[in-house]
Amino acid sequence: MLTFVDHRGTSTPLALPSRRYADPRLSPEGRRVAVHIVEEGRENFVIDLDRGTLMRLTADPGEDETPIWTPDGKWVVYTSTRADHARAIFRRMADGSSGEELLWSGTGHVHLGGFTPDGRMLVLAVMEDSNANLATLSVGDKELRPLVIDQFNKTEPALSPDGRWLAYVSDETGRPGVYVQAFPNPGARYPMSANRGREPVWSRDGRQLFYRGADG
Amino acid sequence: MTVTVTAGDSFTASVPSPLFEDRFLSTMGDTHTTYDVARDGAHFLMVERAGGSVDAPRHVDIVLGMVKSR
Repeated sequence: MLTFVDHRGTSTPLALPSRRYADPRLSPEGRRVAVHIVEEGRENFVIDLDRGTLMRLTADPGEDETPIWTPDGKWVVYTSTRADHARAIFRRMADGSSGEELLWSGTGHVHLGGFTPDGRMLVLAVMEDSNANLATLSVGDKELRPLVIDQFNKTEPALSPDGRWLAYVSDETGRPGVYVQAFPNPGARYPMSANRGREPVWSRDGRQLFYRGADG
Repeated sequence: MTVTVTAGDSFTASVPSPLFEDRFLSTMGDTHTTYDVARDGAHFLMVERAGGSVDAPRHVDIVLGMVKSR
């Protein structure tokens, strides 16, 4: 089930059906959640937190996952498999008023990280041939461009709210750790986690970076 | 864990500090981000097993830092 947890670890479960929720993403205004429900055929849903309702966003037999919001909160973008696409990125209006619009199709397994503030580009991880690296996808020309490539695996990209810094996970030390690097032109890398770190997420004001880990 | 950051020409970050014992689920395993931060920065949307049973505890760390403008 989904729950809000405060800084002391106190859990306040949401009044929603008990399902295997995954990849929850709060909308920009914070009143909706795009989420992946595993046992529903790996489909994506939108939850209205005020009304406690779920709306199915995808219904294809293929896998749908990693839903994220566009900065204006109007669209949900997600990755999928389809009968005619080994892997694809689609977007659909969050209120269900549009059909799926294809943004990209290819062979790599992709997980979405987030949008630039202007909504023109999204960052993602591409996993292919036992390697994982980061890339950007331009919504305008629908071109996928490699971002940070080396021999180490990089996943879980998270762009700062101002779009100038990219947090991600790299296994360059032999264990997963969180790093921050300038965006879009990578410069120096700043390791954040001392031991093991995963799943970086920025606060909305960009002043804090959270991650799951074993430091401290 | 949490780190405080400041952005600018360079990036500075505080020492990571633990927030709370992470007894919540990483439903999809590695390479997925399975929680989100609320607008107030004080609450986290997480996945918990129904009935309150939990995974092996870890920590959610926050890094607070500074990024100077470039």
